[in-house]
Amino acid sequence: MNYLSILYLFLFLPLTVIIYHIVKKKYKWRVLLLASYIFFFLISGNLLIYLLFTTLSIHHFGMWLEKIDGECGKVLNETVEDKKEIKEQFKRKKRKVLFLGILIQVGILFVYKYMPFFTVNINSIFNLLNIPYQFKIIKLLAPIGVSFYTLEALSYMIDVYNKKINADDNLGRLALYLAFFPQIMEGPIARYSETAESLYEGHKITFKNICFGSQRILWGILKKFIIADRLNVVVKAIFATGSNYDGGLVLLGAISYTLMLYMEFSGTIDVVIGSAEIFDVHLPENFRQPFFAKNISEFWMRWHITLGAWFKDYIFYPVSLSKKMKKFTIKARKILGNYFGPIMVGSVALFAVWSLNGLWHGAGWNYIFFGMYHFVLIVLGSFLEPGVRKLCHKLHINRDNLLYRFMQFSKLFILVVIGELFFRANTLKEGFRLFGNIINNFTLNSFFNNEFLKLGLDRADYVIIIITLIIIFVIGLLKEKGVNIRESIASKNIVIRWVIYFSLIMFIIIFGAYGPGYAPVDPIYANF
Amino acid sequence: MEKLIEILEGLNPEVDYRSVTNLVDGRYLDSLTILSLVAEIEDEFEVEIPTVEIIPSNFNSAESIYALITKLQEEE
Amino acid sequence: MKNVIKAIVFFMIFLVLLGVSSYVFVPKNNTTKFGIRQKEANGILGEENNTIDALFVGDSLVYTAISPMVIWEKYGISSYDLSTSAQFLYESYSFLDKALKTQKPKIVFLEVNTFFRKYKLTNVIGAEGKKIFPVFEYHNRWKKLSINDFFSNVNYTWTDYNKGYRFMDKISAPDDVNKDYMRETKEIKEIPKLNYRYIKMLIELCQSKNIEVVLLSTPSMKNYNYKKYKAAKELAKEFNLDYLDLNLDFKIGIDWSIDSMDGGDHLNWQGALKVSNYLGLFMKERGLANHKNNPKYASWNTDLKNYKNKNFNKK
Repeated sequence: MNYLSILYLFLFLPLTVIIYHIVKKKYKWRVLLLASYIFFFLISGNLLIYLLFTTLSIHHFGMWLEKIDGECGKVLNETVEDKKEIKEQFKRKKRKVLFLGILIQVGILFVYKYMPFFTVNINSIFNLLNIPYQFKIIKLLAPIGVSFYTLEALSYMIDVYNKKINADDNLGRLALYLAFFPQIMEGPIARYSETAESLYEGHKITFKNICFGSQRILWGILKKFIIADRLNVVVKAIFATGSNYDGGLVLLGAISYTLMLYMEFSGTIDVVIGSAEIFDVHLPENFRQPFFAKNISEFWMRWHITLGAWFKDYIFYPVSLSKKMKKFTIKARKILGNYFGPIMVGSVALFAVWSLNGLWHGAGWNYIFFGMYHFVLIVLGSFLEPGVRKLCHKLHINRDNLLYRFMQFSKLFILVVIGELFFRANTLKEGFRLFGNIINNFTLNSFFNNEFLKLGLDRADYVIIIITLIIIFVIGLLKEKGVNIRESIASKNIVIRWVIYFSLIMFIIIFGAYGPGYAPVDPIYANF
Repeated sequence: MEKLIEILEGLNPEVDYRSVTNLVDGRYLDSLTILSLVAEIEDEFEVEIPTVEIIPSNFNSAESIYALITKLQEEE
Repeated sequence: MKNVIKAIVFFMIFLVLLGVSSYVFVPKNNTTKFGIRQKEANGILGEENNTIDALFVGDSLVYTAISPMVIWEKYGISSYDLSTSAQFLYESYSFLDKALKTQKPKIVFLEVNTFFRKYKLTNVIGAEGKKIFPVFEYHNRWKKLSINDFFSNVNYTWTDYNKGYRFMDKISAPDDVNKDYMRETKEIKEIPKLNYRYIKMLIELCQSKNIEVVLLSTPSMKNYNYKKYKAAKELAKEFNLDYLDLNLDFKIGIDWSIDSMDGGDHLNWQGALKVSNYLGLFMKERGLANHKNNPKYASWNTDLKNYKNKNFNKK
């Protein structure tokens, strides 16, 4: 069952909503928790035990950390001297506990996601060194959403450690925070402080919530069914191992994949956020019109926002603002100046962030390359920025004018497409082969002699994709301008509203890429 | 306060720091710039900004940054 | 309360829209040009009312093994292959149900290989939904919609001179003799509950119209084994039906080195000849009429000519 299946949309979700609505307020959270565990069980079966273990584990560690704080306070009250020393002592203890807690979570994640990758690579190193030993490659079926809920679990423990939140002694509330079914498969990665309370409170379901939630779900279905599932036909053909297409077609495939990934992921997130909205739970947004960004760095603040934010808060700042790094910063500033000095330091932290970001998506050299690619682009962008700013100033170029923005967009789009090409490629080698094809074998002939229509989509398919993209672009533009589209639709009279809804529904039913000839995309992010 | 504005203008002169209240949310300060900012503030005001305090609400306006500095100075 | 009414009205309008769009999108005739799917099986919709005396329902083991034209030539019995590839029982049911609206056959043969093909309740619900609102099945016709689709009614005119059969002339012998093919075992192949329900429904549908049901296994080395054979035997006993098993019980002289098109999976035309002759004789003995000289069946003789010319003189 995935979020865009009939089973979820027409049975699981409505049934949960109805039961949630019927039961008394104080039982409502139990309905959500039970539904979440059923959802998890339906997909991952007995692996549910890992989710339960993680829940128990972070519950325990949270309480433990808080206990140490309590003891620390007590001791401080009793002594007058050496307060700093005592504080340090307890801090060290806390750090050890946190470290252990993190180790357990990361350990599970490592075993499930990275063991095969690392054993394969260690084995090849052994081979290279003529060591006659090979580790057995153990591949385990990972519990669904392990990459997502692990990050949530870590953020909870670290937040407790930092006293941003209090440890939660209510196991049910904590369990629901980790397991909430709309989020479990593909995020968004929420913080405890963002969702735990509203999930647990048992808000009433209102007519408005149902309407708004359904709208959002519908919008997600549109993105997935009309565009993502359609483009999948092209993507599959181009990225098939051993395929041999000219550069123009490979570029078409890479662009198709980028759009497909965006539509699939953001569409699923729309369904996810819409589902939660019905329960009056407001999940953090995961996308904010990424292609309106000015550069790659900003792009990543608008695409998979919650993942970026997680890395920023729990990797980037802690690394770059650690004591050692701060000393380094001061040195670097003296040598390189106020701008470039901190960037040097930031780069070290960014390197950590992007290595982990690449690895988080999967154990494979192409993912690591994907991470490094973005690391280089972002650091390069930061180093060049003052120069570009000066240059524009001298040449009297207004960086907000339409032409400049269009060039910025084109640059961004090309860079993103190249990144996603490697991301999608089956192996890193395959990625370079395809990329080489774009560079060395580029021709637009396939578009003139209609070769591109042999990939499985006909002209009409492309037309409908373009029309839908234009609709999505216009909506995005309005959002960028600060228009709240949903509120403004809601304020229209019922005839206009219903015409909009029914058009949307019929548009999906008629132009959806389902049935013979199409192959729906499997949830991409659920595998990460 | 004047010192702070000076630092900010040194980092990105294109913003009016007296009026803008969404420095982080409006992406005037990206994470790398915040690193420079933190380094300069720590140098200039002789405080130590812990990671926990690096949240948008503390950095969205010059005023809130200044408030953070004052708070940290008092804690010392 | 106001909101409940709103929701109901919303839903009603939705149903109306589905109905209207289904009217537009349903193929107006049973040809590829009009966008119909599975046109061979749907060819029966164009046949004259009450002219078909026997139907063969099943998956690809039917349309590769049974040639109604062979039967027609020799026995003058009119029959039709109501088969689609990898057919599920709920599809069998809707094809048969549709066919029985215009035809009154004497015998319906159920090829039992479909009995074992698993499916889920959600598949059935999906299929039912498509039946009620064909827009879900045929929505992709938006690419080829014409003005007629908005105003004309459905009228099926096309008939298949192969009568659902698909002519295959490739010869491919199995790599090696499958030793397990029909070797006796104690085990019995289980028929899933949902499948059983549909088998029962199929049989009851026929019996309610006084049509004899015969269970049938066409020869296939890949698909048949003793476990399936036993299961079919039991079903035949339970419902008191005849079971024609051409793998073990009735040897019709299949020579796997020349009669299969794909290494023992499906038969080619030579294998089909043997199966069709056997079934023709069976039906003759059951007293099915010879219409060879009946003027009402003149088109069948034209079809036979087409069948021969187009299939055998291709090259």
